Amino acid sequence: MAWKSERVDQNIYSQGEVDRWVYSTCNICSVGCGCHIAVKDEKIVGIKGNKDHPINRGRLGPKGENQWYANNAPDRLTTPLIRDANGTLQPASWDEAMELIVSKAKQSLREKGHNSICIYSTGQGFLEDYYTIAKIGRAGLQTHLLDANTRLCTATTEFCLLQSFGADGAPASFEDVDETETLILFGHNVAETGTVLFERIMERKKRTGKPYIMVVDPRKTLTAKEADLHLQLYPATNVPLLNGMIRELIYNGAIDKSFIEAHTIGFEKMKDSVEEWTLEKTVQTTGIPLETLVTAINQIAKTPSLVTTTLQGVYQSAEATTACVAVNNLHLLRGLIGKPGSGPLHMAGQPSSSANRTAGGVGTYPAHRNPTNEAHIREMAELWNVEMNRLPAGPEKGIEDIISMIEREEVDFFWNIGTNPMVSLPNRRRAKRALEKTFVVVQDPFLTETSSVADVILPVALWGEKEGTMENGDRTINVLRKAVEPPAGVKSDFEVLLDFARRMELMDKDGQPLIGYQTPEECFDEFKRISKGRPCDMTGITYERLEQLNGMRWPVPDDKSTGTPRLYSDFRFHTKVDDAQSFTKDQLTGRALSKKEFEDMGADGRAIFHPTVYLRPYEEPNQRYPMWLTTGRLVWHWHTRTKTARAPMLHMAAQHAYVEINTEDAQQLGIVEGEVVRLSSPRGEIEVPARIGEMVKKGLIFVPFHFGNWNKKEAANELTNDFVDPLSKQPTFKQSVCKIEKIRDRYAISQNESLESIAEQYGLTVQDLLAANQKADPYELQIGEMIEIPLSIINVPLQPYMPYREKM
Amino acid sequence: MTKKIVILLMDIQDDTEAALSMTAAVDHPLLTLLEASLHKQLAALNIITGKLSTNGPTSLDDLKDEYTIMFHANEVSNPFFESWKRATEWLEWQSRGLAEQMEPLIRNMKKNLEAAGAELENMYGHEAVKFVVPSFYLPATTREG
Ligand code: SF4
Repeated sequence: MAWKSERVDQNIYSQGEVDRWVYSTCNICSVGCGCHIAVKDEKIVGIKGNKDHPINRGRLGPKGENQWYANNAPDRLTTPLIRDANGTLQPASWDEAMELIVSKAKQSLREKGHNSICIYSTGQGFLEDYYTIAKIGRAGLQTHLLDANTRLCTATTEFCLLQSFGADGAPASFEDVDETETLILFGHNVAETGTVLFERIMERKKRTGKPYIMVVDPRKTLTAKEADLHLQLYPATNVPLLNGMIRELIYNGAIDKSFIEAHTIGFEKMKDSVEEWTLEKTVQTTGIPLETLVTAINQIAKTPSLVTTTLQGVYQSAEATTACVAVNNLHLLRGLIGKPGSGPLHMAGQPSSSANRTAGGVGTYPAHRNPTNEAHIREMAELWNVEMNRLPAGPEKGIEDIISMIEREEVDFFWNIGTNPMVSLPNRRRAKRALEKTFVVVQDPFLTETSSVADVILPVALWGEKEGTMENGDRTINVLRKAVEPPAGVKSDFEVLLDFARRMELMDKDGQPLIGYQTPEECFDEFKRISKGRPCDMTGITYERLEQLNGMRWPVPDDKSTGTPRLYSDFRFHTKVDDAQSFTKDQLTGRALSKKEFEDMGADGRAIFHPTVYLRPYEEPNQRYPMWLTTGRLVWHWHTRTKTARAPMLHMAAQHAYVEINTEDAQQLGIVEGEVVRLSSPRGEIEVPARIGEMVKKGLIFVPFHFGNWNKKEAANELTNDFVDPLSKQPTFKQSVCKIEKIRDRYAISQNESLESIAEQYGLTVQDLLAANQKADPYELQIGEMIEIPLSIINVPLQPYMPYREKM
Repeated sequence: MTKKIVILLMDIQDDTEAALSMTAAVDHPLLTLLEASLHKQLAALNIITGKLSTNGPTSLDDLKDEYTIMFHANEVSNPFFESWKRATEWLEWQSRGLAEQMEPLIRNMKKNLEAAGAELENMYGHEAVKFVVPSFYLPATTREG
């Protein structure tokens, strides 16, 4: 069971007692920890964990504890900015900024039509913002270009769930993690991305020895170090690994035949697709030793319960959706879904990315409605009281499609809300060139790297300064109360959206304002009506109940219900034609299937096995670029550090980007610890210090993606390719090619010079100089000999954050 | 009107076949995906043009599924091509010429499918084609009301 005891973590900086504590939820990651915000003199002065919240029982991670510093940062934007004719951002009034935005939106609609407007939002906002974006975007502007930063983070979650079960929503929850006998953390470095969930897992593990933890990751992450079994596979081999496991389970008869027969379709085709993946071939392709692989398969074969979590190691890798579908296949095969302690738990990254998917601000229509199903669009038109022909239909576009459309000058208006694509998008130079060609609105509390392409900037409220709800990674809806007023001159995203709708005179078919609600709570009430009868039914949720019960997992169909910890416990899936959120996509190409094709599949309430065909990655190391580059996260920072870099403790803990290099590779290249090296790929180059060790395998390097200042050469996304998964359209950040070069001077040792004096001259140690020249001893160097001098050495100490070790 | 659409579709058929004949020589996963989607597009086109040439004007319902498949197959094929073209610029220099040769065919298919989308909308009305022709293949401003 969850948490044996509570432990209230807090971080307050206040002279004397605080004035009040305000109910809230952490706004950093998708774990969704409950918290209270400390307020003194109408300022946020701290945070403490909510001891009664079942998700964290008072605990907070380092990012959660330090998030409030951003609220008080001296560089908060407090006035809109408009770029003038000379290219300088100048302060402007809200009226001036909004009128300019409205006139540009109208011009774009007039000249290039509805699909010339794109709203690109976030995973850090509130459900009420996303729903409003969906309504304004689809019924007001009639655009089909609604996307979000969630495309980079959780799009694969949604599309793998649609493929297998007909609708979004992780089948298992954290409660199942507490009960399961076996936990597979697949490409999920939970120790760094969801620290409190990791603590929750490890607390039980230390207390009971359970669950058996298996980690699949090409890096020896902090999570992998705690695993019972680490499957350290080669990059881009998730699908071969799963295919090999599934084939072996089938061959060994370790499958639940009666479950498969009664509750699934497509088994035979799926079986054919894994047929070639013998153990030998799987070992050869993945690089996992046979013994380790067999141990993993045996564990899966015999375990009575299984939760598999997935995150960016799968979502941002080659064949992302196919790999996640294979995870679903694995669970269906063993009948381990909809039962206590069992089910796939495809995680989310950001704190409310799931809410964006649920509310329809990205992907499909609100409350899991299928944009290719006429019945669903008709229903939406009735609920919104607009003509059906106003609502765009068909499959959605992802941000990389939208970048291509901007390049072709098809998009004239790009509204960027709460995200920093100039650091987070792959191949960011290309994205920058594209965005420079179009009118860009940036809505953010701070000037970010994306400000460089903004025509208008709108300053908005942060967490604690507004009210609303979020959905975490396991379908829990949490409420966040407003603790303080935002700084003068700042509005909430919700207020900006309502203002835009009013100025655009967006109306329903009776001539009434399209957006009829005025407050987030009224908006939530409307969304509840929209969600009625859908998989994410929230009829029984109120803000008050959310606070009383500390969150509820949807569906909550009435006011008696306290939520649903686990989906599909009746083994009935959302695959009936007029229930499904999607008619699914072709598993290889991502083509949206027609209604007839879906009907002919005949799932009719049963789960779907899809074939999981392996394709080579689109880019592989070669002579010119011999290394794999993978990017990822550090425990100390969130995304592009807009908030975390403004927290002194987090900033101090990790100030620079760096590159992790395997010891053997570093020795071969003669690179010393901390030496600044040049990494280049066909897209660009960066210069960052080396951290040498065994975290990565030979042939692979890792660069954290958080750092993207235009004045420094350290952004991982200068290097990454911008290929995407065919189904989820999520970019493959985890696999790009690159090469490493040393940045060195050459120096001839002259008479009367010692190694010490040369080292001192360059600010190095003698040991650095010796290592850089692959010499063990100073006497190996002769007068007149040319030596290499590393131009810069920066040590990048990083403290691993493992609170459960000290505090449990 | 049917004649116009048949001419457009036959053009697309020719371009699809020409593009497919070019991809066979190169082995790249993005081309595997491009080929798979173009084959699907071609199969749907063959049925549509076959039926239209034999039976003349038909109701949309007769060919709804094939039209849907054709448009949606094309919609996924374009990003595959664009990604592969970028890949040739980055790493697969030897295929760059082939990508350049193929590009006009890919563009032409899209252009003709947009024309076909507009034609279908003219013939059957927006509401009827809304779930057949993706939003991005319909004329830019058609949804007043
Ligand atoms: S685990 Fe996530 S939600 Fe919980 S405190 Fe840390 S960042 Fe916040």
